[in-house]
Amino acid sequence: MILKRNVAWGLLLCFAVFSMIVPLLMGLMAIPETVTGGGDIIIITQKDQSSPLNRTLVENLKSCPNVTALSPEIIIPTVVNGHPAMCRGVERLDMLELDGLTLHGDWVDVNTAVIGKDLARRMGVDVGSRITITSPSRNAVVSVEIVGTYSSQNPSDGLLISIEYARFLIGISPGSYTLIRLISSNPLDVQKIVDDSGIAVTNIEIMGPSDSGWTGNGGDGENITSGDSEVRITRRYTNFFSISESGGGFTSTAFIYGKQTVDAAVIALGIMTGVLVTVGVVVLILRGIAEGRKDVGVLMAIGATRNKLRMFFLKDLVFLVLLSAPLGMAVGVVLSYVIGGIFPLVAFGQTIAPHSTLEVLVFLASGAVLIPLTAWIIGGEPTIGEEPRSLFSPLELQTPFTTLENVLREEKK
Amino acid sequence: MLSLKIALRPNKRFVLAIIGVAICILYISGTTALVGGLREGRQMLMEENDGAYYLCSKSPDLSQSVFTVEEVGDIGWGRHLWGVLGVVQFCNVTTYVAGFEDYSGLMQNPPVIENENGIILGSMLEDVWNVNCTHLQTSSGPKPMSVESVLEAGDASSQSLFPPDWIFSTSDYARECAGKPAGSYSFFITKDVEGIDTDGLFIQHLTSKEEFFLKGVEQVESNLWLLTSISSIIALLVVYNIMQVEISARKKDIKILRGVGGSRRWIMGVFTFEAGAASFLGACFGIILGIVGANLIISCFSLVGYTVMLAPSADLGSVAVPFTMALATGFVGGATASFMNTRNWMEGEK
Repeated sequence: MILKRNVAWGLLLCFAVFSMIVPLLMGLMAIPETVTGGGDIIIITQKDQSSPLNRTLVENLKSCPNVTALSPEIIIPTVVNGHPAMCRGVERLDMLELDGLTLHGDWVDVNTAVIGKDLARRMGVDVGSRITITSPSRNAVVSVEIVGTYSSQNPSDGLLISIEYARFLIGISPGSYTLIRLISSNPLDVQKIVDDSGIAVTNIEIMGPSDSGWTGNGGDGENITSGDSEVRITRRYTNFFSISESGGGFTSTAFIYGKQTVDAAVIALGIMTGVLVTVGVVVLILRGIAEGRKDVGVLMAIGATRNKLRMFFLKDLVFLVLLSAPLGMAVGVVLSYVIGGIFPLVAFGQTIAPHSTLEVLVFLASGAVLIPLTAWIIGGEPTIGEEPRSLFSPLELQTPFTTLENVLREEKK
Repeated sequence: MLSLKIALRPNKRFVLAIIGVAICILYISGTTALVGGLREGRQMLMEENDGAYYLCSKSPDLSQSVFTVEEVGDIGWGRHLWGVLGVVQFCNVTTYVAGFEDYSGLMQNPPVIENENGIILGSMLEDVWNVNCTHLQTSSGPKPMSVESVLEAGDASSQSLFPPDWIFSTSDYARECAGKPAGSYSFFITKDVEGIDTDGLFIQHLTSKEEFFLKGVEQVESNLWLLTSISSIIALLVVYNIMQVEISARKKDIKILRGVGGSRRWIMGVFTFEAGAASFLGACFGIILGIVGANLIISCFSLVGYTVMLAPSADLGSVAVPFTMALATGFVGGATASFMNTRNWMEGEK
């Protein structure tokens, strides 16, 4: 074997680090999706305060046979006990049905709240605690008693309050909502009901993998295609925070810029990690190639053709990559979950779940193939292109052939 | 001089070691500058957020909070809205009674409370109000009340700071309901926290969206620090390995130097110095390239239309920390490798 097997350990380490960091960074960037539940949930948001989503629209959508579950809501980004939290004004039964939450405790009064178990743990509150919630967009404050907790399959990071309190906090009229989440087997029916409602500026967004190829009304008359998710996510953020603003203003701008800033930092970190891992893998393979230079020289001296040497090298490389990459990727992905468990990673009040989707795994696998290939192109090809004489040091060339054999044997030891 | 000549003898491997160290330190320095830049951006936003109102109390649960004006410092009376809050039962509905000295900060055209037991109902309580209900149930027993007025829905939802299911009263009445001592308060609202003794005080922005964003970015920052630290350990392991390989490749030189009578200590010194020199030069190049690289990446985002509020900059975190780490790791790597190689030579001699 020309490439030494001990290179595999280094490669495994590099692939493990890469496979650990990438899903966590992707999870960080996917935070906006986790706020609204993700999956196949259709999101309808109001564009601005002039056209709030109303009860009539909610009733019309509920009566649609293709709509299996619907939850009209008001999302309130706020800070509770020093922790950022996504507070959600909900119609209790609708929300529980849509998200399939398991509620522990009774939840009836308007001045009470239910908290997700993960958020409760972070904030150090429990059933019976009273907390203060301030408005995101105007000077207003409410105090609520936590009467229950909820848990779900996903991280439970929400704070659920009554829709009445939510309306008060953001200052919208009774019967209004800022967001409707629903599950429907036919999004076009939903589109038609929204169009018929006369609410001129409404965004319809479909989250999750099943949105491919679907086109919806973007609210300003433009069409939104399913592939335009970044634009839609940014817009939804804008909507959340410009509810009580006239013409957007500083706040919504700050949020858009803030998201772009965080995205830029995350992507830049991802790029630099990619560079570090690429360099690490390339250096390791180059080191392996350098260690095998004398073997190449000997093989060339005894008549091996360049094509034959190329095959030797590539076989070794494929063997090493097959040995280290799948294991490294598996270790990395598992580590990303372990790290998430030991140090719960939270951003904007939402627990970061490592994003190990098929796309991410394909990306990691592509890296595992392309990076070693790059190393081969940089180091392997030039090595087999050299004259056999140049592959030995002057000292080695001065020794008789038998001594050279001894040198090689010693090196191998 | 001889040791310097040996250690700094220009050769391909020495240059490659410097490049290797530089790339690893580039990573540490660049990512540290990036995350540090995020902190700068957050601080810029915090400055923008100046001028918001603050809700101050001794506890996140306002009804449990008790303090006197003197306890929070000499902050003046008129500039702040002082309130007392207690939990009561109104016609079998659990709600809050909030007492104030002055209602002018709460709403336009504030109602006047004429009786000492007089209360104003929030609009949502009108529906549950039973005229036969003449007492508020408090923790210390029933407390007589007389409903003087009900807030209009419009007032409650768009003007008042407090929700439409609260009861409003004088501060003395609220204190009696809440069982709190005379002269005490539950919270105050202020625009200016200067002069306030914030020790033990729980302060919240009354308008929380900026605070939500700032705290959210702070959490992102913590996550990135964690991920950067983990990756940096790998980068340092690579630096250590580079030094090991670099010194091990000089095995023949070590043998020659031992052969001509060089002491083990002197040889270790020479090669540790060589590793240190490579680390020093690598760290210098790496730090410069890291900060330039981080700025370059962020500039690329600006070019594609992103508005990025972070500027990676050279500070203690992005310069001194990676520099010290590189130097320490390089010295340790070099010393370990030269120790092993000189020891092996001795064993071989036996």
